[in-house]
Amino acid sequence: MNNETSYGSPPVASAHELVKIFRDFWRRPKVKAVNGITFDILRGEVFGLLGPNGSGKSTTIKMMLGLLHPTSGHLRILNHSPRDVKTKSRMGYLPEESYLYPYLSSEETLQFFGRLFNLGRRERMERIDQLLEMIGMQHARHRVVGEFSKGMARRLGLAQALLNDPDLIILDEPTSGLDPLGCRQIKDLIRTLADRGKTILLSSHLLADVEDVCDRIAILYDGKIQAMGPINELLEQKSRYRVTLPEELPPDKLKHILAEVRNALGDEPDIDHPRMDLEQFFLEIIEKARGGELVPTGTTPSHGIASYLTKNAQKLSGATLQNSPDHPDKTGHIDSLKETPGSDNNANLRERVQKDRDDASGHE
Amino acid sequence: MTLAARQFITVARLTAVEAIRQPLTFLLFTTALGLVALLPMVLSHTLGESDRFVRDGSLAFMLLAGLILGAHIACSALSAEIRRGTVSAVLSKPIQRTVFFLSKFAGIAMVMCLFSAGILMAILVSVRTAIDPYFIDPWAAVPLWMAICLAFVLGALINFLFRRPFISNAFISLLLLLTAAFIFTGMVDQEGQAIGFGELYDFRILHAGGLIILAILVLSAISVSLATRFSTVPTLSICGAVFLMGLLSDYAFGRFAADSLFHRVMYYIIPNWQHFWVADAFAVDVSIPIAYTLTAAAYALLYLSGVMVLGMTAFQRMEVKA
Repeated sequence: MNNETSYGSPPVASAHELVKIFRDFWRRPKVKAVNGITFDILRGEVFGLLGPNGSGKSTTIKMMLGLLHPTSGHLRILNHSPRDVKTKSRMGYLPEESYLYPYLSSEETLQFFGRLFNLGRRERMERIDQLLEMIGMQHARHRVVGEFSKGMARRLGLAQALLNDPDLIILDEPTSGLDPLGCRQIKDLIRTLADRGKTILLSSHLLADVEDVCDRIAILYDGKIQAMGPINELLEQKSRYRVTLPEELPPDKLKHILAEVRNALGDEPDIDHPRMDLEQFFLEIIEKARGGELVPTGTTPSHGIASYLTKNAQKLSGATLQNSPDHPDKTGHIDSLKETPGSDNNANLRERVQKDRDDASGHE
Repeated sequence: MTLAARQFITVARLTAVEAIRQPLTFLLFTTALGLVALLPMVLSHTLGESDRFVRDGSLAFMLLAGLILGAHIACSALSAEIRRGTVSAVLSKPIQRTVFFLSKFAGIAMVMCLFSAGILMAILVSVRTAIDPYFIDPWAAVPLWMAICLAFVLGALINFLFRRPFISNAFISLLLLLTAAFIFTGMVDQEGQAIGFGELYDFRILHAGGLIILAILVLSAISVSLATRFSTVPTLSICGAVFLMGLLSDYAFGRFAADSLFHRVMYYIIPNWQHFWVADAFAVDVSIPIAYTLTAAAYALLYLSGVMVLGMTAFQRMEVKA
């Protein structure tokens, strides 16, 4: 087993030859849901678990949470057994469906989950206020969960996963049921949390979302890892190149460049105009229509992150939030969701990922 | 207070709150109360034994409604939560499975005690209504019916004015109004004249009711333990079978227990509900010895503990797939 990764820090989660066989009533093997998978999740990264239905994603997550017991293999979470109760105080989990109590209000739900941790009443109340503000649901704090839309329930599920300021956050389909604005907000939040030192395991069917936020991914099929690595490495087509020219290039210069390329290649290059992705286009249209403010349906405006979630990052990076250009003030509950590079606690990994991105764009 | 103790109280309270907010809980509660309140009207002119019929009938309603409610709440508190996935969200937090399981039962027991307290107050008032076989006592009947009807009105008003949930507020209002009706009726006679509190109440009913509460708690423990392994329908079916076999235990197994190992085992395994039914003794004015009550309580406690240990073991090893 790897106790230390190539990046110098021990993995937050580590699985080695993990196997899970479900048995029938008579204890006969029924399904081999996970078939000898091995992976490490590094501190401060967003790790994506991809795969079609029945590929073993949820089973893997449930083993990591100690809800299912591995048939064989080795699994360590934060250097402890996943069944160790103390380990769970450092983890946050957003289930695939928002499994909340339908007759409780938002505030009661967060109070309930908050009381399961060793949080004082004052601290719990402060965190609940910040989280409700962060997910834009302060207006619905007394509404019962059973009346919520799927998107609102998702947001509340995310809030309960962050109540204990976890080091490892496991998000199962976090954007499922959210409209594009909500998806964007959740993706921004995931990136911000990762930038501030949180480790995130993300399982999703929405490949575009995974591509947007993940540093590394593992693709599961039939209980086995079929591919794993940094997302840019996996997606990069090393044998092909793309050239991006400056905007508003004079036509005669373009003609000249194309002639040079044609001469060099002896062939006609493919030329087209770059396209905006649909999400970006949609968000711009909605932003214009709403007069510059993007607020998902059923929520109130919020573009921040609960400030208690950033304290750990302060300690690790040695940078105070007051130094951060995004931090509003000492009394502010919410910090901006925009990235704050100074608060990064896993410089090696982030630098490497950034380098991957730069390299990829350098090929354009 | 330790974290485990705080988690125990938190989960128990949540279980009770969720149970109270379920429409079926309120429906069963008000149906049982309505039947208890209705019995004196239906059984008047019964040759001088209407109070006995009302007492026996009401206690039977309490036992039946309590057993159904206990089994239902246990299923929704555990097997429905396991199926829905709520348990996986809670067990992903730093809570021991033992604490979670025991606190679930504690929450169910809290609701069953509130339910039983409300029903027992209504039974005391209802039996008082039927003391005179040819006369419905308005000083008892009217407060009882008013309590039931006003609870709906208050629940609706709170829902309309403050947007608070109807069911839980109506449930709490009903308990408060029943207490008020019980106190008021206890202080007046059939002519509306002031008397010493409870002079016309048959407080032996509390003795019988206490034993019925034990029976309800035993069946709730069986339900909650079964709910760790079975979904709602099998759990309710097995509970129904245990209830029926327990009622027939003396007849079906007890009389053959000396000669047959199977009958002896079944007689010991199936809870015998007859131990908790003492209303018949009141009919012939036999007082219940305290030793009997203590023995029945010990039987309930041992049975409940055994069932809970089995349930806890099953839950400890259970894999949460949903």
